[in-house]
Amino acid sequence: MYGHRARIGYCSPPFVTETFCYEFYKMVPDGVTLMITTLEIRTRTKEEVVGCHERSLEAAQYMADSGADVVVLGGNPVNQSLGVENLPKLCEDLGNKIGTKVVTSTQAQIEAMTLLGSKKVASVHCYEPEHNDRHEQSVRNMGFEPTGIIAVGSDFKHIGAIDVDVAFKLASQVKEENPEADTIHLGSAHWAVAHVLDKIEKELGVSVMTSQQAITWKALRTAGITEPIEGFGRLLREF
Amino acid sequence: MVQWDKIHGHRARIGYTVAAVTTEVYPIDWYRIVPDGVSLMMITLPLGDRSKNDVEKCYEISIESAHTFARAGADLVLLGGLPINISKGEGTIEELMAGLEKEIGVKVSSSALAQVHAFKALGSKKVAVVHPFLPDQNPRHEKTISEFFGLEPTGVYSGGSALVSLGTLTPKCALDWGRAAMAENPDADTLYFGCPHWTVIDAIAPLEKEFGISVMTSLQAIAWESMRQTGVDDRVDGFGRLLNEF
Repeated sequence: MYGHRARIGYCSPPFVTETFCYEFYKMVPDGVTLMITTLEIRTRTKEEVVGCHERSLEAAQYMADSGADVVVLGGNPVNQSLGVENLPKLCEDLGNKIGTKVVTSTQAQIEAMTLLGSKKVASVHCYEPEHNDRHEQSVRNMGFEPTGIIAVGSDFKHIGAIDVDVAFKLASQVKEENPEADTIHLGSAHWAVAHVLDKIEKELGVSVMTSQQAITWKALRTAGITEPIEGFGRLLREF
Repeated sequence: MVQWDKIHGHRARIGYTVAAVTTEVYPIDWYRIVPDGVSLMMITLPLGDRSKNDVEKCYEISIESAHTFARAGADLVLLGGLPINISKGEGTIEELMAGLEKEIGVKVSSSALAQVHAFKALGSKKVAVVHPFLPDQNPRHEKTISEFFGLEPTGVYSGGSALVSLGTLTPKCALDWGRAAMAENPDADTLYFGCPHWTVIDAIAPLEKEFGISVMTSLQAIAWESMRQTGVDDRVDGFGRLLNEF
């Protein structure tokens, strides 16, 4: 079967998912598959966030029943709404209930930045500037110091159409404006950034962590896929 | 070869409603078939045990999804799930798709129409069906071939799997089951593999060659319809006559 090494379940918050799947298969070795369920987030209302978590729990059970080796609960805002400190217990309890390992995208990103030695984190996210404060608070909630932020300015529906040169351009800008940043976080797992990770690290002299990269990395390592992966940043190559 | 200086869907972006709670095999086989630059936008639907309620709910979400795909820039919306597509009456599907297309301003098709077009292109008349589910689904498949597609069903072969096990089926299953179906139905001119959520694509070309027939699968027909409806006219080798000749 395609997933003869590992089958990874991912609860994907956006109502429409396009880029995540494409970039996942650029990164993972042969024999690793993605089981994906799209969820409720259209504009990120409070009701949608709550509904998203509830559907994640149902999807996780379905994925476990289908043989997933690990289930990732996606959506940093969804996970953080439950309290970052509560996530390990939530994963343990849910894992016991459904009978497979469970991690969250938030824990994946915390662990990734910890291993990368991140302290001062500059962010580029794909959404509108009114989400800047939320993203900075998110970095703080994960235990790191936010050091500058730039928004691409896209709404939820159009993140699949963001030009692929945008990520590097804005990463360069945020580093130039915040030279003290040791890490650049490309926020949201649903815009095309996988192609610039090595370039950002090499040319800007920082570590880079993206939501999609961290989710994929954490899922692989949790499922016992430990080989270094080239081409998508230090995280997948060194840890 | 990936072109990193363009968006992933720089040739065509296809919005597809996936008639399954979770999808695993579909995106893998999709990206094996389509050329670079054709991307898949997905919404999964809560189709559980195919109850009437499930199907109705999925139909409503499908319509909402079509609007969302259109606003997100899809070049084509393709509604998946043949049972969902035909839930409002088998005779009305083309009208429904045309009406929706007018409403959202983007081309609309469906897995049902894709398969109608595929059977027509292949010149199919007598169809043997292979599906991965339990034998209790046989009458539904047989009825769809005769009543919806207007073709002659020569027999139905059931793989005997549960919905949750589709991702564990190997490519050999499709090959073996296809051979068994042809052994039971040697007069079939077309072997049809139902359901796009198990891996079948590697069995298409070997079975066409071995039995001198056409092979059509749900996923192959959906990918073909998606490409041709969006002007992607590339001939794709390795996955059957449909993608190679039409």
